[in-house]
Amino acid sequence: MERTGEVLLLLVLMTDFAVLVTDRLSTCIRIMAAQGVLLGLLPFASGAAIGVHTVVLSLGTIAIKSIVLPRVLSWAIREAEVRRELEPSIGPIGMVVLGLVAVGVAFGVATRLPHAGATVLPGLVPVSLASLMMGFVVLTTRRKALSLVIGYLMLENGIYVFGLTLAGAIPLLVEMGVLLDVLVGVFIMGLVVFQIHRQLETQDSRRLTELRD
Amino acid sequence: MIATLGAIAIWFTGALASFVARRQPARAALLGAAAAVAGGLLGGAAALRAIASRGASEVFSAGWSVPYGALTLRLDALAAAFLLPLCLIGALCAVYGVGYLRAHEDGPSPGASFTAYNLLLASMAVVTLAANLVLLLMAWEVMTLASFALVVSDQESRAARGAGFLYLVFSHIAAGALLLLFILLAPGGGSWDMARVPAHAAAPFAWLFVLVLIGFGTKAAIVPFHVWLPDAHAAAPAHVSALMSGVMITIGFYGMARFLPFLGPPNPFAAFVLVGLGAVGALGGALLALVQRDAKRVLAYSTVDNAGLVTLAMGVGVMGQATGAPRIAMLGWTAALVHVWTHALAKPLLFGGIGAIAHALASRDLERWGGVLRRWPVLGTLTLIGGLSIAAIPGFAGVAGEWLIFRALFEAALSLSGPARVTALLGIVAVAMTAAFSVACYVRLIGIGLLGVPRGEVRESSRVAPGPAVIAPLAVIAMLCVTAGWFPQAIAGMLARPVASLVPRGDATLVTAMLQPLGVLGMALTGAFALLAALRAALVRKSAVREAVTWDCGYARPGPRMQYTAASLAEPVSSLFAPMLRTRIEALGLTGLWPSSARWRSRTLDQTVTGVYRPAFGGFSSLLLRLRDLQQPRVTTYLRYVVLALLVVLALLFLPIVVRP
Repeated sequence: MERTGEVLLLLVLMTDFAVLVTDRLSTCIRIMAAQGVLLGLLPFASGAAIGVHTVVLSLGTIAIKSIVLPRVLSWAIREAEVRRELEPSIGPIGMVVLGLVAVGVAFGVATRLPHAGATVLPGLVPVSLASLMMGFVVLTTRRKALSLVIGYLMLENGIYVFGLTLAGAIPLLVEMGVLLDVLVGVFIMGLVVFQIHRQLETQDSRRLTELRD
Repeated sequence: MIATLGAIAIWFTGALASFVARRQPARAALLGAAAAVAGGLLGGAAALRAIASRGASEVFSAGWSVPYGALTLRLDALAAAFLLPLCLIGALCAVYGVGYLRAHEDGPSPGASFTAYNLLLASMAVVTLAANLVLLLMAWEVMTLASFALVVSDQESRAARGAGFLYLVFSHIAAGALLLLFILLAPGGGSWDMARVPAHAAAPFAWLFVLVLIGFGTKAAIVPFHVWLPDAHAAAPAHVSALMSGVMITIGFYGMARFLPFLGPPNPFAAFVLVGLGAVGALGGALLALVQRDAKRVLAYSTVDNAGLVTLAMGVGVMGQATGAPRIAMLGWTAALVHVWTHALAKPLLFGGIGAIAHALASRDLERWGGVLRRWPVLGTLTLIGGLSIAAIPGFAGVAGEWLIFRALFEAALSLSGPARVTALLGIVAVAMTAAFSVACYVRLIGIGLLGVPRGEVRESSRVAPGPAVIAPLAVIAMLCVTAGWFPQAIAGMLARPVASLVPRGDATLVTAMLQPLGVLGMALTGAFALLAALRAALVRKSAVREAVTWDCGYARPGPRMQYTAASLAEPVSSLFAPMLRTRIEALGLTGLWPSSARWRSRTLDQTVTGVYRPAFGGFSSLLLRLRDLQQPRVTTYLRYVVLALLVVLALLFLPIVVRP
């Protein structure tokens, strides 16, 4: 069981790296959908007792993260007619290096955190931190508003993995609340992106400079 | 305790009532003032009983959901010593305020004003009674905000907004210091009750002492934290200035008297600092009061002067405790509390009188005043009594405190040795000079402002004549001032128990015996003056009185503008102390054979403002302006800030200082 969990976590990390080096938005969305499936399977492998609770959590995760959200995002890129990230500020090699740094920092920090060793699956905390930081890498380097949505999703997935360390303790409602929160967040961002495109005929977030007071 | 709680409840109800009735100004003012008076009477009675009774202090306690908080109120002798003037002056100033606000129809709205006024009374009462640090801090903040609202209540006035901002800035610095102080003093866990404050504080004495000085000293107008006061007192309505100067200042001293024992055993270092700051404040305040042109600023700087005297007296008290001389400690602390009381009487009287005069003469500029005593004899006489009291003339209230300060300083200079003796000697010099300047200052205020004929406009409408709501409270205070001047030993006797709670080994009869002759002297002086006045009246009645020019030295047509001016009266002192005061003079002299016009103008600014605070705040604000560059118009920049913050927090994990469970 533990080995399955570790393999799943490794795959989550690899999907994160895949997002980092991909500049086609539709591919990014597909990778995120795949990551959603991996995350949905994780509760069974994280060592917690398997019950109705786990099944609901898993099914809900897969439904939202790998079916609903990718559809919303695909619809958004189709409407806004964007295909790929324009003129990326850092090339693929640079992104991989940044990702490696993020993973290094995550594993370094995880040993210092008070509850790092408490879970059955020790990889959960470092992988969640790595995923979170790679989400930040995407958020800070990409320029298309839709890429920012992807970065935000990676960040949320990191938080989800961290939440799994407490899967036994968190009531079901809270988890569903978290998932719903992500869903609503992405919906709103999708709509905003669409509106930005409609108003400004561009998706470049650098153009959003009029907000300063 | 029921009576005290009732008073606080009445004040809160009054605040609510005048807020609800704010659309009908007259009713709002009446409701607010009625509550202030009722609460004042009830609270004053409770305070009097607490001062007089020999029993233990009364305690009220209730739970409170705020962390570390508890609604614990304790009425002991020390709290009662500060609660009594608060109730008395609070009630009288409220009555005055009704008349004042009615006369100033275009001024502050009575509803808002009395809401804040009653809140201020209630919060000050809670500060004096609070036995829990969190409760005290919260009441302290309500006090600051309520008084801020009162300072800026004249919404048309630009000066009031500036003064309010300055006051708010200083109050927040002070509140920050208090918060730090309370955290350092706090007992571990449970509610932060004063009774549970550990005997040995966790921090060095000097740190705690500096925090007490900043936290309470700002409210108490101790130099160099007094800067907010002149502006705030000048901008606020007269009854508010009276309450703030007479009572709110003393709340700062209450805090010092209450918290100094928590810091550890009495410390000579603290005594020297207090005496030094007190001497600088007293002397500087008196000098600056002497050169002000705005009548209310004269009174404001006079408050700084008196706050300095109280600080100095406290310093002598601490010196006595630190050197193991209970006699000196007793004298010093009694002097401080007596001076707090007499100042709480005299200053509201002056602010009330000066406020009414300023309204009648349509100006606060002393150079435009004059002729008050003849036109409004009652108002003029009341103001005169206030001036005599605060200038420490025997027969009036102020003399007792200053006399005791002198006695304490002389005792210290004669019986102590080493640095304590030097400090006491310097203190004697400072207090003597202060007393002289203070007399000069009030000679100027009364002589220029009240005597002679008006130099400027006089409002002639009947509405201007001060009504009974203005005169009656002032008359009550004036009577108390005279009574206190005739029987100073009674004040010291009333304050014996509060002082005993600070200096347990003192002998109260010592002070009463010391003050007895002073009262007799005062009565004799007053009697002699009354005799002379009666004689003059009898002589004048027999002969006809006509108005004429005093000396007709070639002036063809002497006018009111040719009277002696306030600036000329202050000139000898201000030129003597030119290096300290740095008065700026702009003069456009007479030129040519047939000179047509000339100008002469002098301005004296507070050196702590121009020399210390303005450069410091200016540098600080230009430093902060650079932070604006952090605000970038890009979303990704903000995200980078988030990442940076996250990395910093994570880096904290690698530092040894972080406590891990």
